Amino acid sequence: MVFTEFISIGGVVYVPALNKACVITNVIDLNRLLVDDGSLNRYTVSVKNIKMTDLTVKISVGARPGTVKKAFAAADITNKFVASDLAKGIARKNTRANLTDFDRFKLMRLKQARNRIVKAELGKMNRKK
Amino acid sequence: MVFRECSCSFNAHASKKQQMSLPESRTEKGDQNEQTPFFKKKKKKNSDPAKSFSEKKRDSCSLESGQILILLTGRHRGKRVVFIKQMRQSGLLLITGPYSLNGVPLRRVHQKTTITTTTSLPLSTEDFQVPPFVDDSYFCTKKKPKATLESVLEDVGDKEKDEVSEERKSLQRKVDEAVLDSIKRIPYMGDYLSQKFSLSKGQMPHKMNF
Repeated sequence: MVFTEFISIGGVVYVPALNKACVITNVIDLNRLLVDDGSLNRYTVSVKNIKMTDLTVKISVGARPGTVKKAFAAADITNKFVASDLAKGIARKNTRANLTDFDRFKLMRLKQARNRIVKAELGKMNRKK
Repeated sequence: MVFRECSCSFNAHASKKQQMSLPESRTEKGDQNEQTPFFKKKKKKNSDPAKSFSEKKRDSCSLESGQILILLTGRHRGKRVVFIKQMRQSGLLLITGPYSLNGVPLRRVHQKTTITTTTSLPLSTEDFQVPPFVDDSYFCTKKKPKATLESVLEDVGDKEKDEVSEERKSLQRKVDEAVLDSIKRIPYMGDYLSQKFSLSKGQMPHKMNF
Protein backbone atom coordinates (compact mmCIF):
# COMPACT_ATOMS: atom_id res chain seq x y z
CA MET A 1 0.00 0.00 0.00
CA VAL A 2 1.36 3.42 -0.90
CA PHE A 3 0.87 6.20 1.63
CA THR A 4 -0.49 9.37 0.12
CA GLU A 5 -0.94 11.63 3.14
CA PHE A 6 1.97 12.58 5.36
CA ILE A 7 2.29 14.27 8.69
CA SER A 8 4.02 17.60 8.28
CA ILE A 9 4.48 20.75 10.28
CA GLY A 10 1.60 23.03 9.45
CA GLY A 11 -0.66 20.22 8.36
CA VAL A 12 -4.21 20.45 9.67
CA VAL A 13 -5.63 17.37 11.35
CA TYR A 14 -9.02 16.70 12.91
CA VAL A 15 -8.82 15.48 16.52
CA PRO A 16 -12.05 13.62 17.37
CA ALA A 17 -11.37 13.66 21.11
CA LEU A 18 -11.33 17.47 21.05
CA ASN A 19 -13.78 17.77 18.15
CA LYS A 20 -11.44 20.36 16.62
CA ALA A 21 -9.34 20.94 13.56
CA CYS A 22 -5.78 21.58 14.77
CA VAL A 23 -2.41 22.45 13.22
CA ILE A 24 0.63 20.26 13.81
CA THR A 25 3.30 22.48 15.35
CA ASN A 26 5.79 19.78 16.34
CA VAL A 27 6.39 16.06 16.35
CA ILE A 28 7.20 14.69 19.79
CA ASP A 29 8.14 11.16 18.82
CA LEU A 30 7.03 8.35 16.56
CA ASN A 31 3.58 8.26 18.14
CA ARG A 32 2.79 11.72 19.39
CA LEU A 33 2.24 15.16 17.96
CA LEU A 34 2.01 18.60 19.42
CA VAL A 35 -1.01 20.33 17.94
CA ASP A 36 -2.42 23.81 18.28
CA ASP A 37 -6.09 24.63 17.78
CA GLY A 38 -5.54 28.21 16.63
CA SER A 39 -7.03 29.63 19.83
CA LEU A 40 -3.90 29.62 21.95
CA ASN A 41 -4.46 26.05 23.15
CA ARG A 42 -1.95 23.26 22.66
CA TYR A 43 -2.49 19.56 22.98
CA THR A 44 -0.48 16.35 22.88
CA VAL A 45 -2.21 13.97 20.56
CA SER A 46 -1.53 10.41 19.51
CA VAL A 47 -0.97 9.86 15.82
CA LYS A 48 -3.47 7.03 15.97
CA ASN A 49 -6.30 9.26 17.15
CA ILE A 50 -6.32 11.85 14.37
CA LYS A 51 -7.92 12.20 10.97
CA MET A 52 -5.85 13.86 8.31
CA THR A 53 -7.04 16.61 6.06
CA ASP A 54 -5.46 18.25 3.01
CA LEU A 55 -5.52 21.74 4.54
CA THR A 56 -2.24 23.41 5.55
CA VAL A 57 -1.15 26.44 7.54
CA LYS A 58 2.09 28.28 6.89
CA ILE A 59 4.08 27.94 10.11
CA SER A 60 7.57 26.80 11.03
CA VAL A 61 8.57 24.13 13.55
CA GLY A 62 7.55 24.91 17.13
CA ALA A 63 5.85 28.16 16.24
CA ARG A 64 4.50 30.01 19.25
CA PRO A 65 0.75 30.06 19.96
CA GLY A 66 0.41 33.70 18.98
CA THR A 67 2.06 33.11 15.62
CA VAL A 68 -0.04 30.03 15.01
CA LYS A 69 -3.20 31.96 15.82
CA LYS A 70 -2.41 34.58 13.16
CA ALA A 71 -1.48 32.04 10.53
CA PHE A 72 -4.56 29.94 11.35
CA ALA A 73 -6.83 32.93 10.85
CA ALA A 74 -5.01 33.97 7.69
CA ALA A 75 -5.54 30.53 6.18
CA ASP A 76 -9.22 30.66 7.24
CA ILE A 77 -9.07 27.08 8.49
CA THR A 78 -12.29 27.21 10.56
CA ASN A 79 -14.47 27.95 7.53
CA LYS A 80 -12.54 25.71 5.17
CA PHE A 81 -12.77 22.78 7.54
CA VAL A 82 -16.52 23.17 8.03
CA ALA A 83 -16.91 23.09 4.23
CA SER A 84 -14.86 19.90 3.93
CA ASP A 85 -16.42 16.47 3.43
CA LEU A 86 -15.02 15.21 6.72
CA ALA A 87 -16.74 17.93 8.73
CA LYS A 88 -19.99 17.42 6.84
CA GLY A 89 -19.89 13.72 7.59
CA ILE A 90 -19.34 14.41 11.27
CA ALA A 91 -22.23 16.88 11.35
CA ARG A 92 -24.51 14.35 9.62
CA LYS A 93 -23.56 11.69 12.16
CA ASN A 94 -24.37 14.07 15.01
CA THR A 95 -27.80 15.02 13.66
CA ARG A 96 -28.64 11.34 13.20
CA ALA A 97 -27.62 10.55 16.77
CA ASN A 98 -29.75 13.37 18.13
CA LEU A 99 -32.98 12.58 16.34
CA THR A 100 -36.08 12.45 18.51
CA ASP A 101 -38.53 9.55 18.36
CA PHE A 102 -40.88 11.55 16.11
CA ASP A 103 -37.96 12.51 13.83
CA ARG A 104 -36.94 8.88 13.51
CA PHE A 105 -40.50 7.99 12.57
CA LYS A 106 -40.67 10.70 9.90
CA LEU A 107 -37.31 9.56 8.55
CA MET A 108 -38.58 6.01 8.28
CA ARG A 109 -41.67 7.12 6.37
CA LEU A 110 -39.64 9.32 3.99
CA LYS A 111 -37.19 6.49 3.30
CA GLN A 112 -40.11 4.20 2.51
CA ALA A 113 -41.58 6.77 0.13
CA ARG A 114 -38.27 7.23 -1.66
CA ASN A 115 -37.68 3.50 -1.97
CA ARG A 116 -41.14 2.99 -3.42
CA ILE A 117 -40.43 5.57 -6.12
CA VAL A 118 -37.10 3.92 -6.88
CA LYS A 119 -38.70 0.48 -7.06
CA ALA A 120 -41.44 1.74 -9.34
CA GLU A 121 -38.91 3.20 -11.75
CA LEU A 122 -36.85 0.02 -11.65
CA GLY A 123 -39.96 -1.96 -12.44
CA LYS A 124 -40.67 0.24 -15.42
CA MET A 125 -37.13 -0.24 -16.69
CA ASN A 126 -37.38 -4.01 -16.34
CA ARG A 127 -40.72 -4.12 -18.11
CA LYS A 128 -39.34 -2.19 -21.06
CA LYS A 129 -36.76 -4.89 -21.54
CA MET B 1 -13.22 -5.41 71.61
CA VAL B 2 -10.75 -2.62 71.16
CA PHE B 3 -12.41 0.40 69.63
CA ARG B 4 -9.78 2.28 67.67
CA GLU B 5 -10.12 5.98 67.08
CA CYS B 6 -9.79 6.40 63.37
CA SER B 7 -10.48 9.26 60.99
CA CYS B 8 -13.36 7.36 59.44
CA SER B 9 -16.35 9.69 59.52
CA PHE B 10 -18.81 6.93 60.30
CA ASN B 11 -17.01 5.92 63.44
CA ALA B 12 -16.56 9.50 64.55
CA HIS B 13 -20.25 10.14 64.04
CA ALA B 14 -21.28 7.05 65.92
CA SER B 15 -18.98 7.74 68.78
CA LYS B 16 -20.40 11.22 69.13
CA LYS B 17 -23.95 9.90 69.22
CA GLN B 18 -23.54 7.05 71.58
CA GLN B 19 -20.96 5.33 73.63
CA MET B 20 -19.95 2.14 71.90
CA SER B 21 -20.63 -0.05 74.90
CA LEU B 22 -22.35 -3.37 75.06
CA PRO B 23 -26.02 -3.29 76.10
CA GLU B 24 -26.30 -3.62 79.80
CA SER B 25 -28.67 -6.52 80.08
CA ARG B 26 -27.08 -8.58 77.37
CA THR B 27 -26.25 -11.43 79.61
CA GLU B 28 -29.74 -11.56 81.14
CA LYS B 29 -32.10 -13.26 78.76
CA GLY B 30 -35.30 -12.15 80.45
CA ASP B 31 -34.99 -8.35 80.28
CA GLN B 32 -35.44 -7.71 76.59
CA ASN B 33 -37.39 -4.50 77.15
CA GLU B 34 -34.71 -2.80 79.16
CA GLN B 35 -32.08 -3.36 76.54
CA THR B 36 -30.72 -0.11 75.16
CA PRO B 37 -30.67 -0.12 71.36
CA PHE B 38 -27.25 -0.44 69.82
CA PHE B 39 -28.11 2.19 67.21
CA LYS B 40 -30.77 4.82 67.61
CA LYS B 41 -33.87 4.22 65.53
CA LYS B 42 -34.50 6.93 62.98
CA LYS B 43 -37.85 8.72 63.22
CA LYS B 44 -39.99 8.46 60.10
CA LYS B 45 -40.18 11.73 58.22
CA ASN B 46 -43.82 12.00 57.15
CA SER B 47 -45.28 10.40 60.21
CA ASP B 48 -47.43 13.41 61.06
CA PRO B 49 -50.85 11.82 61.61
CA ALA B 50 -52.69 15.13 61.38
CA LYS B 51 -51.99 15.46 57.64
CA SER B 52 -54.19 13.30 55.45
CA PHE B 53 -52.82 11.38 52.51
CA SER B 54 -54.29 13.75 49.95
CA GLU B 55 -53.11 16.90 51.71
CA LYS B 56 -49.46 16.04 51.59
CA LYS B 57 -47.42 17.97 49.10
CA ARG B 58 -46.93 16.05 45.92
CA ASP B 59 -44.15 16.62 43.49
CA SER B 60 -45.70 17.76 40.23
CA CYS B 61 -44.29 16.21 37.10
CA SER B 62 -42.46 18.47 34.69
CA LEU B 63 -44.49 17.44 31.67
CA GLU B 64 -46.31 19.80 29.34
CA SER B 65 -49.90 19.22 28.36
CA GLY B 66 -50.00 17.55 24.98
CA GLN B 67 -46.63 15.89 25.36
CA ILE B 68 -46.27 12.51 23.70
CA LEU B 69 -45.41 9.59 25.96
CA ILE B 70 -44.51 6.01 25.12
CA LEU B 71 -46.13 3.43 27.37
CA LEU B 72 -43.86 0.66 28.49
CA THR B 73 -46.08 -1.64 30.53
CA GLY B 74 -49.62 -2.91 30.51
CA ARG B 75 -51.82 -3.97 27.64
CA HIS B 76 -50.96 -0.80 25.74
CA ARG B 77 -47.21 -1.21 25.89
CA GLY B 78 -45.33 0.33 23.02
CA LYS B 79 -48.12 2.74 22.18
CA ARG B 80 -47.58 6.45 21.85
CA VAL B 81 -50.12 8.50 23.77
CA VAL B 82 -50.92 12.09 24.60
CA PHE B 83 -50.46 13.43 28.12
CA ILE B 84 -53.29 15.57 29.47
CA LYS B 85 -52.58 16.41 33.07
CA GLN B 86 -51.39 15.01 36.35
CA MET B 87 -54.04 13.75 38.77
CA ARG B 88 -54.02 15.79 41.92
CA GLN B 89 -54.63 13.10 44.46
CA SER B 90 -52.58 10.19 43.23
CA GLY B 91 -49.94 11.92 41.13
CA LEU B 92 -50.66 9.58 38.22
CA LEU B 93 -50.72 10.96 34.70
CA LEU B 94 -53.97 11.23 32.79
CA ILE B 95 -53.49 10.20 29.18
CA THR B 96 -55.52 9.54 26.09
CA GLY B 97 -54.62 7.66 22.89
CA PRO B 98 -56.61 9.30 21.24
CA TYR B 99 -58.89 6.28 21.24
CA SER B 100 -59.68 6.33 17.53
CA LEU B 101 -55.98 6.27 16.62
CA ASN B 102 -54.54 3.63 18.89
CA GLY B 103 -57.27 2.26 21.14
CA VAL B 104 -55.97 3.83 24.34
CA PRO B 105 -58.84 5.44 26.27
CA LEU B 106 -58.71 8.10 28.96
CA ARG B 107 -56.47 6.36 31.39
CA ARG B 108 -54.21 6.91 34.34
CA VAL B 109 -50.60 5.88 34.04
CA HIS B 110 -47.59 5.98 36.31
CA GLN B 111 -44.84 8.21 34.99
CA LYS B 112 -42.18 5.63 35.80
CA THR B 113 -43.74 3.22 33.32
CA THR B 114 -43.46 5.68 30.44
CA ILE B 115 -40.82 7.24 28.26
CA THR B 116 -41.27 10.96 27.85
CA THR B 117 -40.60 12.26 24.37
CA THR B 118 -39.75 15.87 23.63
CA THR B 119 -42.50 16.00 21.02
CA SER B 120 -45.71 17.65 22.12
CA LEU B 121 -48.96 18.91 20.66
CA PRO B 122 -49.65 22.63 20.97
CA LEU B 123 -52.44 22.21 23.52
CA SER B 124 -52.88 23.56 27.02
CA THR B 125 -54.72 21.79 29.83
CA GLU B 126 -57.91 23.77 29.13
CA ASP B 127 -57.91 22.80 25.44
CA PHE B 128 -58.52 19.18 26.37
CA GLN B 129 -61.89 20.08 27.93
CA VAL B 130 -61.66 17.44 30.62
CA PRO B 131 -64.59 17.91 33.00
CA PRO B 132 -63.71 18.44 36.67
CA PHE B 133 -65.45 15.25 37.80
CA VAL B 134 -62.73 13.23 36.06
CA ASP B 135 -60.43 12.66 39.02
CA ASP B 136 -58.91 9.67 40.78
CA SER B 137 -62.19 8.42 42.24
CA TYR B 138 -63.68 8.39 38.70
CA PHE B 139 -61.10 5.83 37.62
CA CYS B 140 -61.02 3.69 40.74
CA THR B 141 -62.47 0.22 40.30
CA LYS B 142 -65.88 -0.03 41.89
CA LYS B 143 -66.01 -2.59 44.65
CA LYS B 144 -68.30 -5.50 43.90
CA PRO B 145 -70.78 -6.51 46.61
CA LYS B 146 -69.49 -9.41 48.65
CA ALA B 147 -70.74 -12.72 47.28
CA THR B 148 -73.02 -14.62 49.59
CA LEU B 149 -74.15 -18.21 49.08
CA GLU B 150 -77.61 -17.08 47.91
CA SER B 151 -76.28 -14.59 45.36
CA VAL B 152 -73.89 -17.14 43.91
CA LEU B 153 -76.69 -19.73 43.56
CA GLU B 154 -79.01 -17.16 41.99
CA ASP B 155 -77.04 -15.92 39.03
CA VAL B 156 -75.41 -19.01 37.68
CA GLY B 157 -76.52 -18.37 34.13
CA ASP B 158 -76.18 -14.73 33.24
CA LYS B 159 -73.05 -12.92 34.14
CA GLU B 160 -72.92 -9.17 33.75
CA LYS B 161 -70.59 -8.23 30.95
CA ASP B 162 -68.16 -5.46 31.65
CA GLU B 163 -69.29 -2.93 29.08
CA VAL B 164 -68.08 0.58 28.76
CA SER B 165 -70.86 2.99 29.67
CA GLU B 166 -72.21 5.44 27.12
CA GLU B 167 -71.14 8.22 29.43
CA ARG B 168 -67.51 7.11 29.20
CA LYS B 169 -67.70 6.83 25.43
CA SER B 170 -69.14 10.30 25.01
CA LEU B 171 -66.54 11.71 27.40
CA GLN B 172 -63.83 10.04 25.36
CA ARG B 173 -65.16 11.49 22.12
CA LYS B 174 -65.41 14.95 23.63
CA VAL B 175 -61.85 14.98 24.97
CA ASP B 176 -60.40 13.49 21.79
CA GLU B 177 -62.06 16.10 19.57
CA ALA B 178 -59.60 18.86 20.39
CA VAL B 179 -56.67 16.45 20.35
CA LEU B 180 -57.47 15.02 16.93
CA ASP B 181 -57.92 18.51 15.58
CA SER B 182 -54.39 19.51 16.52
CA ILE B 183 -52.97 16.17 15.38
CA LYS B 184 -54.34 16.70 11.86
CA ARG B 185 -52.38 19.93 11.53
CA ILE B 186 -49.02 18.26 12.16
CA PRO B 187 -47.81 16.10 9.25
CA TYR B 188 -47.16 12.45 10.14
CA MET B 189 -48.45 12.93 13.70
CA GLY B 190 -51.59 10.80 13.28
CA ASP B 191 -49.53 8.06 11.68
CA TYR B 192 -46.96 8.36 14.46
CA LEU B 193 -49.50 7.96 17.25
CA SER B 194 -51.17 4.97 15.63
CA GLN B 195 -47.90 3.05 15.35
CA LYS B 196 -46.21 1.25 18.19
CA PHE B 197 -42.70 1.99 19.34
CA SER B 198 -40.15 -0.79 19.09
CA LEU B 199 -36.41 -1.23 19.13
CA SER B 200 -34.62 -2.56 16.10
CA LYS B 201 -31.15 -4.00 15.79
CA GLY B 202 -28.40 -1.67 16.87
CA GLN B 203 -30.73 0.72 18.70
CA MET B 204 -29.83 1.26 22.32
CA PRO B 205 -32.31 3.20 24.49
CA HIS B 206 -29.58 4.72 26.62
CA LYS B 207 -28.00 6.21 23.50
CA MET B 208 -31.19 7.42 21.92
CA ASN B 209 -32.89 10.77 22.19
CA PHE B 210 -36.60 10.72 22.74
